[in-house]
Order: sequence, then structure tokens, then C-alpha cells
Amino acid sequence: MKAAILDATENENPIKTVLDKKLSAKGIEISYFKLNNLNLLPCRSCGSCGNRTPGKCVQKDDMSLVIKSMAESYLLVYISTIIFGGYAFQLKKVIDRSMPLGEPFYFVRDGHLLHPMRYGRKLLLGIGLFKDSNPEEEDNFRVLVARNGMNMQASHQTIVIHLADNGMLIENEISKALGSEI
Amino acid sequence: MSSKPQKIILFVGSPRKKGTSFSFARTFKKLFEYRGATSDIEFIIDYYDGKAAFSGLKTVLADIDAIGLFMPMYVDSLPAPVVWFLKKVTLDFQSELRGKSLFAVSQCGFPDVTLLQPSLESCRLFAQANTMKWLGGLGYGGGAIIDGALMEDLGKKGENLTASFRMAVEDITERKSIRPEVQKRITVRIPKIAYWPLAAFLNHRTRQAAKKVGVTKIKGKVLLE
Repeated sequence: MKAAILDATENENPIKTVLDKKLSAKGIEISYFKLNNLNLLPCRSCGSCGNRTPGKCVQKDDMSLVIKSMAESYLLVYISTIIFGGYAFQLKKVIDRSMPLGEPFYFVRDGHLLHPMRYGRKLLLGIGLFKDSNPEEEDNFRVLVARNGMNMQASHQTIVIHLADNGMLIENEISKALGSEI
Repeated sequence: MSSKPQKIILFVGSPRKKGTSFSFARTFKKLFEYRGATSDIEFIIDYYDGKAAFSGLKTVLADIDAIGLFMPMYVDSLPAPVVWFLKKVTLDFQSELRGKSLFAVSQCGFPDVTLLQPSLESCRLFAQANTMKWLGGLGYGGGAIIDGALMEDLGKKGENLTASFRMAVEDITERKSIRPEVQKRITVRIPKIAYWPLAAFLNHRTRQAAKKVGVTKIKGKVLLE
């Protein structure tokens, strides 16, 4: 089993250490991406990945490495400071460019129009970080991860962590979130 | 500051300059000007690409009364360049934003307008963070069907949208929250039972578009090949 960890935080944080420990103990192969260190272009909505080069983006940058790892992985971990109740810019670039993970077709499930996914079932773990607590931003972040999960037809969990939280608390939260899915 | 907004800047958050977001912004601009306001359209992607000087926004934002954000939904929320833009104006121009009005119009291809809630909530949270007056957000589902067409080319649908946007403009120029009636008027009502034939129609369109460019293999795990 593989995991792709997409880390949009700017500085070092204990989350990577905790994830390394938890996932390695279960024999999960980890691909870790510190997104600020990568050359990532934003989606231009050219539509190529839909019907000209189906399943592939035509822009040439480091996203090709990231999306290959996302395709291969069962577990996707998004780590981001919460910005206006959503993802930080570096992570949102990746998420916008992850459209090729789905097909450009639609089907209906549970009253929602969805894109079929090319690479099978996933587990999405969204980890949002706060410096100053804002319940409304936290609520929107949780809704966003849930919506992403629904659209990917993925199981999903959300953790919100205060930057001052200690490593043990973070470890407990991550353990609870991963639970029996891993 | 005057009690009625007279200078309104409309930021388009789509990288496509002739898409539905621009079409909506263009209509708002015309409606603002009809009411005697001055209104300009700017593209966020131009600031992201360095084609427009970000530092120039200081004077612009100091001078305006209201800001409108027009953007598509990308994977359930704001497009990445819009996130970049909102964060950067917060860092650099918070004092210029304070007290100004903000409204937002978001659109997506899906008929379910509630999908736009996280995007519009992010815009409200941006307003909150910058002590702006939030006038409300409008969501339009079915933007892909419009596909950048101008309101005057959309017949009855265009007339209804324009009339609805006119109500929003009245409220915005009075610094009032956009009345709920506007959202009711622009909400595309497709019963869930119609989603299957809608999916079939959209899938047919996708196959036709692929066939036109000579593509036959649309499905498949191309990233693992």
C-alpha cells in the first residue's frame, strides 16, 4: 500500500514525523512532497486533460511526479494551513491539477453528479493547521475535505490542529483518523 | 466614505478571459454603469502572471467603494490563483480594504448550486478577515452550459439572469446585502431524476469533443502506463 503526503506548510512541523512513524509501522510506502519546494503551475482550464490528452495535463512542471504518486497511492494526505476556510495556495494548485485522476464523464450516485475515478478507491486525510482559532474557518475546511472526498468517491477524515499542539496530541488525532482504514 | 458605492472593481478569478465568469462580470459592469457608478474589470491571472503590477492595487483599492469577485469553482472551492490573490491583498493592502463592500459570484458546471457554498464562504471569511462589509454571494449552477456566452445571446435565460443581476446591483450600490430573491431567481432547478439523462448528454458531448480532435481512448490508467 502507498501513501502520497502533500505538505503545503512552509516550515518544519511534527506532522511529517508522526505520519512517517505511523505509516511505516504498517509497511506503507510513503511519497512525501514539500510543495513549496516544487515548481507547480496553476490550472489554466484548457480542457486538454478531458478530451485532447485524456488523463494527462499538458503543462510541464513537477506536478507530473505528484500526480503519478497520487494515482499509485491509496492514502492521500493533504497538510495545509487553513486559509479563509480552505487550502493554502500551493496545495490548491495540486488539487486543481488533479482533475486527470478522474474521467471526463459523469455518473449519478446518491443524488450527485460525479466523475468516475481512474485509479480506484482512495482514503483522503485532510489536516488543517491553525495559528489563531476560527470555528467558522474550521467548519468550512471540514466541509471542503468532505466534498473533495465525496467527489473522489473516497473515504475521508479531517483533523484540525493548532500550531501550538504537542506531538502526542497530534499523534493521537492522526491515529484516530486513520483508524481501521489503514 | 459615501453611503452609496460609486466605484466598483470587479475581479475575474478564471484564467479564461472569455468564460462564464467574465460574462457575468461584464453584465454587472454594464448594470453598475447604468446606475451611474464607474466599474472596471480586472483579471486575477494577470496579477498572478506579473502582467499587471500588484503594487498598483494599493491606489486602486484605496479609491474604490466595493469589490466584486467572479470565479468558477475548481474542485469544490476557489481556483488556486484566487487563493493566492486574496492572501496577498490581505498581507499587503489590509488597510485599503477595511470598510469596503465585498460581494462574490461563483459558478460551476454542476446543477447543484449548494456545491458553491465552500467557495462563497471563503469569500465571506476573506471579508471578515479584512473588516469589509460582506454583501453576499451568488451561486450559479450550469455555468458550463453558458460557456462564456454573453447575456444578450442567451435569449430568455440571459434576460432572466440580467434582470436578477440588476436586483443585486441595486442592493450593492445601496451597500445592502444582496436580497435572497436573487439567488432564488438564478438557481437552475433540475430534479435529481433528470441527472441521469443530463449525465448522458454531457458524456455524449465529451465523446463528440474527443472525436473532433481524433482522440478515441478517453478512459484508462494513463499515469500508470
